[in-house]
Amino acid sequence: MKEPAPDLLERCRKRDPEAFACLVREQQDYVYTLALRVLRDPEEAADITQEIFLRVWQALPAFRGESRFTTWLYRIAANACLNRLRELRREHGTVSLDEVPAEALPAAEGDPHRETWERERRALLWGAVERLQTGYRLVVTLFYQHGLPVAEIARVLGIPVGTVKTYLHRARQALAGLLRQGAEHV
Amino acid sequence: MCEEIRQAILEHTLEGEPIAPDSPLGAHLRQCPDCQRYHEAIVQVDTALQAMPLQAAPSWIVERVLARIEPNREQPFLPWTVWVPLLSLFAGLAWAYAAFVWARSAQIAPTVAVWPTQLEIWLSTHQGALGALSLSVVLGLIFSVLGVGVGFYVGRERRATAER
Repeated sequence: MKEPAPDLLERCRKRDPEAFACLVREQQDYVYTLALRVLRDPEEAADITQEIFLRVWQALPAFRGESRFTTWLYRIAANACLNRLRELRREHGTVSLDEVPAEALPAAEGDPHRETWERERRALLWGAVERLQTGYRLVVTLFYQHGLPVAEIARVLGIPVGTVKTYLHRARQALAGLLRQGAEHV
Repeated sequence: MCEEIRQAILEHTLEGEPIAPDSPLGAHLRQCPDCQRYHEAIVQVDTALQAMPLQAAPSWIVERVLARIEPNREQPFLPWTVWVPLLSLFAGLAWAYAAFVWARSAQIAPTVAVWPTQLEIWLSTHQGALGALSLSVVLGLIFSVLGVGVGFYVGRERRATAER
């Protein structure tokens, strides 16, 4: 996670499109990754990323710098993604069947070759993260991929620090269990 | 006992701090293979998740965002999707008018003053010139309509692209 330079933010607040293009380039991978983890659809994630930056452009003059810019940006991003997810669920039915609580992650398929197992471990873990419930996915992504501390994640999502920790602990426990089960098959 | 230790492992490793071997937690890990494996698995999970790269956003996002915010900043007096059809319209009308004036000065077309009393006489004597005049006027009008149509179509496509 990279906090934008203060002068870049100031130029964006003064409606400088070139400066805003720099800001978008700096931050778009973080926003897109978050959107992809929540929505799990590259096209939807790209569309909502575009919408998020348009909202940021409109809201930037009101940003007073009371929080970090990235906290403010990710709050807008998380809210936009969660709202879009609700809309998609209304359009296409209820909760996706492949969403499971952290405790109920399935066991890994046994792999006969340790080398292959090592190579596929990351993909396996992220595949398992993809199947976690939305709140867990959000917290895990913000913590590991965006590098946000627990207190910052709590501010972004508007939930208590204890809840963030609980989500992280449960997710890590479930994923560690998955790794151990997988390792036993090797 | 092990349940509490595992909770402590989760808390401790979340902050990225290594467990000191001489701490009570470290002492337990040395004598409990299950908790040792649990600790290793948690560290592996943390390492693997931290190593996962960000997903690269599609390159068109910046262009589309700029396309939707830049009209607010540098709006020309008239966008080209308006002035091109307008220019076509004026050019077409000018062409038609010029053809009419030329034909009148060459006395091959009826003047407005004599219209329509001498029209029938004129039509009977200048059928070829009338054809040329009509062709010029019609071409001018087609030119105008085409310009307006192309401008309208391109403008609509550009708006649709920007909205996508």
